Amino acid sequence: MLILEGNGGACVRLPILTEPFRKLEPIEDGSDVFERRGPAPPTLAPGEYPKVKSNEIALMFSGGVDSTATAVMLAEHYDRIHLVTYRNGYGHYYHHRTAERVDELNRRLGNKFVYSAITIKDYFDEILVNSVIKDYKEYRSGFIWFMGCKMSMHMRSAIYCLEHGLPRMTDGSNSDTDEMVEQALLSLSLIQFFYEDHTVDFGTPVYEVRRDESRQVIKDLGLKMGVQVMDRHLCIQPTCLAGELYYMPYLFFNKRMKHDEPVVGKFIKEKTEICHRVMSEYFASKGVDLDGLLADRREQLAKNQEASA
Amino acid sequence: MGRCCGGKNAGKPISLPRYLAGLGVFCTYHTAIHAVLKVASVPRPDLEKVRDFHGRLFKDELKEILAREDINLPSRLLRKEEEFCPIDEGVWPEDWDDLPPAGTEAA
Repeated sequence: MLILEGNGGACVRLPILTEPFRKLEPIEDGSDVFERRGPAPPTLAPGEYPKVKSNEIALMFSGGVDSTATAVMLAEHYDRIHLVTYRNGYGHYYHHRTAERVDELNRRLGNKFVYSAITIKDYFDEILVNSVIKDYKEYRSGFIWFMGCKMSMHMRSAIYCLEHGLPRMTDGSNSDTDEMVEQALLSLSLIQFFYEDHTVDFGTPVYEVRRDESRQVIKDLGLKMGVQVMDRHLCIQPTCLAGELYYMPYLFFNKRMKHDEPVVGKFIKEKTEICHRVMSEYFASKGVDLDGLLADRREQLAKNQEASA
Repeated sequence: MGRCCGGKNAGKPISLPRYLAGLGVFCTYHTAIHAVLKVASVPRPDLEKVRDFHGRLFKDELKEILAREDINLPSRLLRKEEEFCPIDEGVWPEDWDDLPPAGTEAA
């Protein structure tokens, strides 16, 4: 499959044959970060926790229309925006497109963006892949793959916020694409509770913004729009092979997605417990007690709130 | 906004050529991915779970698509037989305002 971009470059280059064999080297030993543009998080030590910075925010970023519009919006209100992107290790390709988008944003909006690309394969294995057959028997729908993947991303995002002392996390979820299970209102609400339990304030600033408005924001800034096919823009964000397969019946046949709320809710609740355990283990491996870190953040956040009142 | 269950386009009618073209792409893409997973799971046994999951999902979805479950395909060529309504005409009178004879039950 080969699609040409406006500038004549090829934007799809046989991902199945080449990308799975591209080994991603962590930037430091024992790290899950494979690319970083910006400062490393402060080293955590028992009793020494990062200071909460209220003028910085994190955004789960792919480089697509919605997350780019979110990034532009956040740049008006914050001094620094931490863009984080993830690779799940199972048919998830072309992360260089996200990095290119970050460069574009920094050129247009004055170097406000720092960027980290992180592999979540190990967390995803633990949260879903190791039990995927059992989970499929129980939930009888392919949504488990996407919700499991997204929960791994949110869990790692919560870790990112705790490590960097960020009080807020956002993403580009939009009601126009709520056929995607992870962007449904119920899923977002339960994810918000997960963040709240970990002292992070989660929001979706462009949820009610029409995609046409988001497109206009990107065009006005002169950013790349990729190749538009129906409502989608190809070649500006990573490709998820599993997502293409799963949403195919909806795109081709207008077939209803099987995302019944009670079932999705049960799945998220079950996996939330695993996420919390994985987070505790992550911090324990760095010699930090998660409960102690959360208690310190709650204290700092309360003080900040008092000061601003 | 405020939409429910399965996406904004769910249930909208599609044409027969679109259905057939979609079916072709669906089967080809899934079969190719399954073949790749099958080969890849030989040197990497950790992919066996993914391969099995994909196989089951593909099989279940294909069954639903072939049965046109949740698909609105208003083509004369593929219209299902008129539903047969198994009401025993001997039990219910022609005039629906009349009650059935006392002590009679539908079979």
